[in-house]
This record gives sequence, structure tokens and C-alpha cells, in this order.
Amino acid sequence: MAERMTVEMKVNGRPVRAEVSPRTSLADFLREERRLTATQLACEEGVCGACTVSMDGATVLSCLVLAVQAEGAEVWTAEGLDGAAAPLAEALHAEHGIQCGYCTPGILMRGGELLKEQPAPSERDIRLGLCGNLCRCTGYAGIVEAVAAAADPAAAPGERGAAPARREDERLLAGRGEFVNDVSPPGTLHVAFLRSTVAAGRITRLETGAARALEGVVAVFTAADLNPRAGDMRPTPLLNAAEPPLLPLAADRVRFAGEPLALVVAGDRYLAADAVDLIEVEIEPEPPVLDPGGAVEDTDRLVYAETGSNLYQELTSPIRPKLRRALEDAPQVVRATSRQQRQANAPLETRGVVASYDPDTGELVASLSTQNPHEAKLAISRVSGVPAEQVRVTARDVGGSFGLKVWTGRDELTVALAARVLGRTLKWIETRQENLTASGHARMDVGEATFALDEQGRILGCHLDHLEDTGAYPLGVVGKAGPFVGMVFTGPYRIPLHAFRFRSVRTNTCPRGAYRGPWAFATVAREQMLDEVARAVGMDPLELRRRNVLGPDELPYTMPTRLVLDHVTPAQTLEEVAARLDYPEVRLRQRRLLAEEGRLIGVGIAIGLEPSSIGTMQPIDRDTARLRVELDGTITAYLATGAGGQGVETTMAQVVAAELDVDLDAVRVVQGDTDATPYGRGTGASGTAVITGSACRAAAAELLTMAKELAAEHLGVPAERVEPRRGVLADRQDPGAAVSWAELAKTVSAHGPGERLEALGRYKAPPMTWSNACHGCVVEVDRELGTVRIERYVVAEDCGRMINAKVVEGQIAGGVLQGIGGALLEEVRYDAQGRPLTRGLAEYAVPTTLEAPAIEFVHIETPSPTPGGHKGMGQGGAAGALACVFNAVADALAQVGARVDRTPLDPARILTAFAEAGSRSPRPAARPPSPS
Amino acid sequence: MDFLRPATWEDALAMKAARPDATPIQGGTDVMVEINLDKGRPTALLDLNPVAELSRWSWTAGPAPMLRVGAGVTYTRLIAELGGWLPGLAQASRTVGSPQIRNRGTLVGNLGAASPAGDGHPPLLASGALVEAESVRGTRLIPIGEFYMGVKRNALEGDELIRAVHVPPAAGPQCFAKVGTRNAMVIAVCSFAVALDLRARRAGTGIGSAAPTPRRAHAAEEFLAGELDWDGAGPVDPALARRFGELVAEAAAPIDDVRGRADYRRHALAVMARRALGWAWAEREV
Repeated sequence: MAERMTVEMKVNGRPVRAEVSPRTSLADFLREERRLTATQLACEEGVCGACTVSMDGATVLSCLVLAVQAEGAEVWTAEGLDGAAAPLAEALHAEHGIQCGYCTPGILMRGGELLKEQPAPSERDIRLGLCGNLCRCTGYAGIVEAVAAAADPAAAPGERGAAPARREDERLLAGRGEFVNDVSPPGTLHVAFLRSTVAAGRITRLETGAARALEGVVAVFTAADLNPRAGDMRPTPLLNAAEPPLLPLAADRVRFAGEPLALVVAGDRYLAADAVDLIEVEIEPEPPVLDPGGAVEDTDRLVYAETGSNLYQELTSPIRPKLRRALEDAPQVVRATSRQQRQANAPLETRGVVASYDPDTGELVASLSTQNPHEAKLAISRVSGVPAEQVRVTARDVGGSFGLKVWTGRDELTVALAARVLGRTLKWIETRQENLTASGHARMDVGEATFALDEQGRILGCHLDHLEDTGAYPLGVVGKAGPFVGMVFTGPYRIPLHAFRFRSVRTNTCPRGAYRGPWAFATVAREQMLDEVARAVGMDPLELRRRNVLGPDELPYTMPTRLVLDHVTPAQTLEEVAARLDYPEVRLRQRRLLAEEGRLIGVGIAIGLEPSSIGTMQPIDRDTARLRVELDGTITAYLATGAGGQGVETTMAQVVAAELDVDLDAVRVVQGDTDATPYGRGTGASGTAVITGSACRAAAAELLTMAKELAAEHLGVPAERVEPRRGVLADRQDPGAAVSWAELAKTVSAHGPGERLEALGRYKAPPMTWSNACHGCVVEVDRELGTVRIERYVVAEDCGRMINAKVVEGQIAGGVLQGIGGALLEEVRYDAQGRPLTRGLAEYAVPTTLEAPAIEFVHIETPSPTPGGHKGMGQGGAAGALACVFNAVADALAQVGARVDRTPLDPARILTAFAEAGSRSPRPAARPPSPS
Repeated sequence: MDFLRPATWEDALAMKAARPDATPIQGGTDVMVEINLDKGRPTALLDLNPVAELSRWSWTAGPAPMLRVGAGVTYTRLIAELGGWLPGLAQASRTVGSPQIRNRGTLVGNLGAASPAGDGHPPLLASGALVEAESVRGTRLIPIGEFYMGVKRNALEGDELIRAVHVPPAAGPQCFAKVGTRNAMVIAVCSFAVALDLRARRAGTGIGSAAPTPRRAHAAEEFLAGELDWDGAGPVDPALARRFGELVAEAAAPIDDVRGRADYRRHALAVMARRALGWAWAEREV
């Protein structure tokens, strides 16, 4: 590295002069040298826009500018905007254009420029103008609305019922969010991993001498250094499972390309990366196991030689004689296949950890990007050997996760262990390439099903054969979630007989982790297959659903797997969507456009059922909340949740405020710190509203009981006469007699300065809380290029009582866009040797503003039988959307005899389907895909 | 990695002569990606941003003046200031990355990187641009068709820098079309440009991302010059447009890669070329 150079520039109006290495990017300069951490890094290849700053009057990507190139420049970051961005910031706040907040500073910078260039932008202008700012949470709906509203306040959709703006937003808009990469204690050292580029093989040489010798390198660890010191790395739910051991670093064999081989600790991240390049590694490659179908039978090529098989789990429910007869002899028997590709969660913020071990106190403190701080604490304790009570985990803001960060990853745990060994502060921020190749993948399922129907199209029974690829190592509860697909496969339909076989296999690929609906495949496969069934029996898919969907008077309904379905509205949501789409009209238009113009329109419908807040999924089936009345009368809620963009600080404050009848502003939520909060489940598996919300209610009830006693003494009335009312505790019979929460807090503190009025509430979920939704969309397929355009998108959903309608819609819109990504764009790919091909956000195509449809919502609020009447709804959007878009494309294609059975439906796949249809049918309706 | 910061063009040429290993950097939207993703770190960077004259454009002298677009002219400025004369190039520029990329990235940077997928190449090929290369030894004008030598290789000598690119103003309608894996922020799966010269009655073409280098479809150009009814009113003859598309596709030599398959690329090129011709022709009628 060449010597340092002097650079002078103006940052946020202030002159700055510094010595930098020429390699330092402007983004790193702003973040590390200037401590301006609003500017985020998420791809480092100019795709995501999170690092957008303004330089000499134009927005640029600060990851693609060297600090020395900003010589003499005037640079502005989100921190410097102050009032300048106020209308846009206010609009983003009002329109819920923010979830995790990681992309927000970039949106502010670019959105501000857009509004300057085009003071009255059209929706198309806004989408084009923000096409270089990726957001993985919002589906862009709130962002596009916010820019429109900032340009023309009269265009704002206006206040919605119970949808207060989010209190997380203020710090995120000011660039004061604290993501893990923003945590940089003095003396922090930086970690980089050496990873295998080979999918399967034996490590024959690992020479670290040159790396160790590089100036600035503090340590290089290999398996020999760390593995013997590591405790159990598995997540809590898998501790007792019989598994091959998971160790920090690959010792003698590698099992997927991306597996960590060595860990370098150095003074800065560039140095650490340079040192990694100096490690000499030789791996004798072996033929990898890549195809999950072939892996089942393969006994020659094994991911784990000692197991004798690649089969990881198998669960079969028996096909009873009645079902067998139906599947053999029913008037109509249809077989269908559905394949879902390998995907990546791809949150905008990658994983990361800053771990610090103090040998004097024996305390290990770690900041993580995690949905589940308490699980991280337990896992770090197990792996590092530091007693749990001496481990503290903090996680203030998390830049999206979607399941990736619910169980603590191998890499974060390895870094924590290395910090313990070194007795130093270590920081590891995952690169995007690591994120897409080594953090955890999603999906990769194959389903083959048989449906038996009577003459009228009523389903008599079905059987699902489900194969899941778990990758090289099991992560989290995924292995337990797989069989659940078969359990809930029949979904919201009256299907009296059902059986399934579930198998999961190991392959030499990145381990499969949790992703938005671990059992989403039940919805995806069933809904795609039902359309296939409808086509096979010559019935409209809407009609087939109408004949089989459960109506309100059939509930509660016991599914063939003995699960009981209740408090759901699948038939109603189906009719809402059909009505909104004007279904008969769409069908007429579809026929007309094909006949008159040769255009291919398709309509798709999918009904999703989301099992949320599952009472059998220990330890995330329960939660604890602590409420404390402060001396000023405000209430603090201490929750074990993590801030991943779900708006927990807002919605849980709403719950507490409503229970205590206090002002929303009088409630503050503290989360993301294991020292401050009681043990709990974290944020995930669509459980916050029901489980954490109910724990909050329980705590509020407990607090009220105590408060009523105290107030009764104050007021000289029996406790039964006291009720909370508009921020005070009042006498039911004398409206004038009341005592404030502050007075009660002071009464308690009279017993001692540290004494507070506080209460703990616990809640354990009932076996199942179902929410449901129906998605409908209309698409047009370009017959020649195979591209797909979504014309309309409608969601009718029932998540019970909504705490905050805009939070609900934001969750759905974000899920829908991930589903669209899965249906059309996103696929993690390997080459024939198992080397990853999708290593960045240019190759792994997550949707931009230009793929995101405007979504029309219909809400039905059927209360669940839980304390608040809520239901989980964080995951269903993605599953419903994937099937819905798939069905619409398949519907369009079917008009010309083309068939598809797998996602993503990229242009080449669609054209192949046209070509196959052309060769099958005597009347080639579609153009051939290739002139050759 | 050394960082060289010339103040003038002469300094830049001298530095490049002394350090042929130095990689020139302008907007950095290509070079920095390579560095960040560790795809090879240059031994030295030669930052051309301080050379202010490079961010200007002007007209060349002579009987057929061309637009001389300096190496520092960003896509954003090209679209805003030169779009009237160079509609095809402006259309292609609008599909480059995002507004932030276009604010910083330059057309000449695209030439330096010589990626087969660069969006600027097809319209430059279609309109017959010239690359102004200069070294301490002198200046030469390289016809664009001779500039691309292989995947990410161009005709520059080790001591040469691109000072500008000379582009003839449009002599008729121009059109650029591109397919990507999504609608924005994409590297082209394949792209195509056509430029009609209504006076000379000929058409130029450019194919992107479907061969080791960007290239013209010569046979398709000759076909149009000979077969298109240049005086005809109404839309272009569908059979002729289809044949044109086929000839364009035949000129390509695509491969399978992570973005797309060879057969899809060839097919899409035929479709895009046919459509682009139709759109360009329709514009002429207006």
C-alpha cells in the first residue's frame, strides 16, 4: 500500500483536511474518518444506492469514488441535510416510506435531487429517478408515495385510521440509526474470512505465513486454533438434534464454496482482505453433490461420508386406503409439479458483528445485526465459553433480515470466539459476496402432488411428495419447518383426505436458512398446482377455488393432518379479489386481446394461509415484556425484540398505550439490549403482534392491578372503582377524582430511590394463529421477448385486528415484492462444479422501483382468539405473491399451449415454454424462441 | 496502489508514458467496481478528473463536423446537452445504471473499459464514431469498429489515453433497445442500436453483449441499404424488418453466462432489431 495522501474537501459545509490511503473510498472516509455513518454500504458495486451522497451538486455513489478524488469537492451527506430535506423526510415518515431505514439516507439524498430536477414528477418519473436505490423492505410503495407527497402535499393519500407514524423514523431520517457497522469502539480490529472456492474436497495445504507477516495483521486463525476451543455452535432449538458437528472453520474437508477456512484480524478492513489473499490454500476437489433429486439416491458422492446417505430427514404420513382409492379411482386424477428455485434473503444490510472481550472483567459484549438478541447471547455464550450472565448483546437497528438473522450464524459466532481468544475488539461486516454465497440460502424445493377430484371439480384428496434441499449444514429450525409444509398443504380448502412424504437432503451448497415463511412452499406449491389442476379438468381456476374453498359456516375445520383452522376468511378474501379485479371482465379482455392483437394477458389468484405464532415452536413460542412507570409518568416497555424494520417500537407502544389508556407519546419501547430487556423470542416468525403483543398486554394488566391498588389508597376508594382513563387512574364514580401515573411512580420511589412501579408479563402462544390472504394480479407477457409486466395487483387480507394499518400494508407490500422477485427475477445459481455464479446484487437481481407494482389493499379484520385479536402477517405476502404472479404468467402462457412448472419465470424460460408448446401443438401459436 | 493526479492533459500524457501500468480513472463506475470486488487491483490509478478540459464538448472543424465529446463528459450531461444531436446515444445513456451512476460515469470511461456489455458501444458503432487517442507520441483517430479488440480489451497502446470521442450528429432517426434481467440497474443481456442516415440512404447498426466485443451487423446494414424503400411512406415492410432482425442475430456470437443464454440472446436480438427498425422508421414519418 502506497503512503498516505492529503485530501481537502468540504463535508456538510465544513472544511476537512485529512491524510488517507489512496485506496480509501469516499464512503469509508465519511464513515470511518469523519464518523458520518448515515451513508451505508450494501453492495460496493454501484447497484444499491445506499451510499448515495451529493458531490459538487450531483448525487454520486460514494463506494465508487475514492476519497482522494473528492479533493476540493463539496460533499453533503444525509446528516448535513437538516431542514433541506424536511418535506421529503416528513413525507417518508407520514407515508411509512421507511422500514429498516438502511436505504433511507440514500433515498433522502437521491429523492432530494429528483425533486430539485423535477418539482412535479409523475409516478413514472419518481420510479425512474429512484431506480438506483434498492429497498428490500417496503416494496417501494411508501417511498414513491412520499416523493409524490413531498412534491405536492395535496397528493398525499391522507391519514388512515389507526396508523400512527413510526417512532423509529426520527433517528433513521437524521442518519442517526445505529447499525452494526456504525459501532466502532476505539481499538477495533477488522476481520476477514478466507473461504473455499471449491464446493467439495479435502484441504491439503493451508499456509498462513505470508498473511501473518503482512504489516498490520494482528492474527490469523485456522481450524486448529479455534475449533478445539469452540462450544456447540448450533442454535438453541437444534441443540439436542443428532447432527454432524458444526465447527468455526473447515478443518480437513470443505462442503460448500463459501465455507470459511481461516480468519484474519488486521488494523483495517482493506488490510484484512489483502492478508486473506496472501493465504495459500490447496483443496483437492471432489465431485460435488449439487442436484437435490439425485442426492437422495446417491451413495457414491456423499456430503458426509460417515452418514452413508445424503438424506437428512424423512417424514411420511401414511396413505390410508380411502385416500389410495381416491388417488387411483377418482373420476379425475391430476398430477402436478412445482419447483421453487434457490433464493437469497438479501437484506440490504448484510450480517455483521462487533465483539469485544475484556480479560480483566471476563465480559464479552457484542453488537450484532440480529432479529433475536437473546438467542445471540446464549449462542455466543455456548461457543465462547463465557458464562451467559457475562455476555451482553446489543442490536439497535437492523437493516432487514427476513429470517436470515434469526439464528446466530456460524461466522458471527466464530468472530465472537476469536475476540475471546484475542481479548480484543473485533469487527466483521459481511461482504455482499459472502452474503450471497455463505450466509444462508432460501427455498429450493420440489413438490410433486396428485389430486383426486369428482366430476364437479370437488377435491376428494391429495398427496404431496416434498423434497427440500438443506445445503451442506442445517441452519436454525429449518429442518423442523420442512415437514410443516406437508402438514398445512391442504390450506384453506375442503380436502378431506391428504398424506405427504417429506424428505430433505444435504448437498454441497450454501446451507439453507430461514426466509420469509419457512413453510411458504405449502402455499406456493398448492396454489400453483391448483391452477394446473383447473387447466387439466377444464375449469376456470377461480371456479375451482370457489368449489373447494372453506366457507364461513364450515369453521372450525379440522384439516386431514388434525390441525384446526378457525377465525379465517379465505372465501371472503377470494371474492373480494375477484370483485376488485373485475374477474369476468379481465377474462373477456384477455380473449379479445389475444384474438385481435395477439397479446398475452394472464390473470392469477392465490390464497395463502399463514400459520403464525406457533405454540409448539420452542423457544420462540413465548415472550416476556417488562413495563416500568418512570418518575415523570411515562411508561417504558422493555422487549426482547430486534429492530428489523417491522415497526415494533411503534406497534408495541400502541398496544401498551391502548391497554393503559395513556398517550402514545407517553410510552417508549426499549429493545435490542440483553442487559436491559427480559429474555424473549426476538422478532420473527410473524409472532410479534400475537406473542409479544400479548406479553405486553399481560404486563399492562399486572401493572394496572398494582396501579389500581396504589391509586385506590390515594383516592380513598376501593380498587375495583379505579380505572385507567386518558393518562390517569380515575375513580369510576367520580370523574373529578384521579391520580397521575407520575404520582404513583413517586409513591413507589418513596420506598427507595431505585424503586419503581413495574410489572412483568408473560405469554405463551396457543397452538396456532392463522391469518389468511388472497392475492390477485393481471400480467402481460411479451410473446417475443418473454418479459412480464404486472398490470394490476390486489391483496385482500385478514390479519385480525390491525394495530397499525400502514405497518400491515408495509409488511405486505414488502413481502409481495419479494414474492415478485422470486416469481420472475431472483435465483441463486451455481455452475456445474458448485461454484457460485450470483455473487453480487448485479447478478442476484432483487426488484427495483420499476418492477414494483402499485398494490391495492382490502382489509378484513376477523379477530383471532388471542388477547388482542391479532394474527401474524409478516411472511404470507411473499408466498402469496410468488404463486399469484406465477399463476398469472402460466395463465397467459396456457392460452397458446405453453406450460411452466418452476420459478423464476425469466424470459428464457418463458420462451422455452413457447417453443415446447410450438413443437407439441399442431397450431404453433407462439413465435419460436430462437431463429436457429 | 499509487494514485496519480495530473493537473493538465500534458501531465496526464507524461504520467501515462512513464507508467503504462496505470489505469485511467474518470467516473470510476467501472474501475472502482473491479477494485472493490477484488477482481484485480491496479498498481496505479491515473485520475483524469482534475483535467478540467476533458469535461467539455465541442464541434470538430471541417466539412462534416462531428461532436467531440470529452472524456470527462458524464452521461447525465450527454443526455441533457447532446441528446438533440445524438438521440441514439442519449437513449442508451438513459439506460446506464441509475441517475447516480450517470451523474458520475462517462461514455469514454465505457470505451476504456471496453466491456462487451457497455451500453454506449452500440450507438457509437451505429453512428460511426471515432476515438481520439493520444500519447506523448501524438494523436490518432481510431474508427470505432477497429477499437474493440476482445473482451475488455481495446486498441489503445500502453502510453495512450482517450481524450475524446467524435460522433457524427444524427442524420435520421436512431433507436437503442436493451434487454436486462430487470428494468433498471442492469448490465445488458443484449442490446442493439440502429441509426438511419436518410440522406445517404443507409443504416448503421451496433450489437452489444452478444459477442466478445461490441460489433456491427454488416450484412444487415447492406441489406437495409439495398432493400429498404427509403422513399416509401407508411410503416416498414414487416417481412423486410424480420429479415433485418435475422441478419442482426446472425452477426452475433453470443455465449451462455449468468445473465442469459446464447440462444435467448440471439433470439432477443432479432426481435429488438426488428422492433428498433420499426420504431426508428416510424419516427421518420412524424
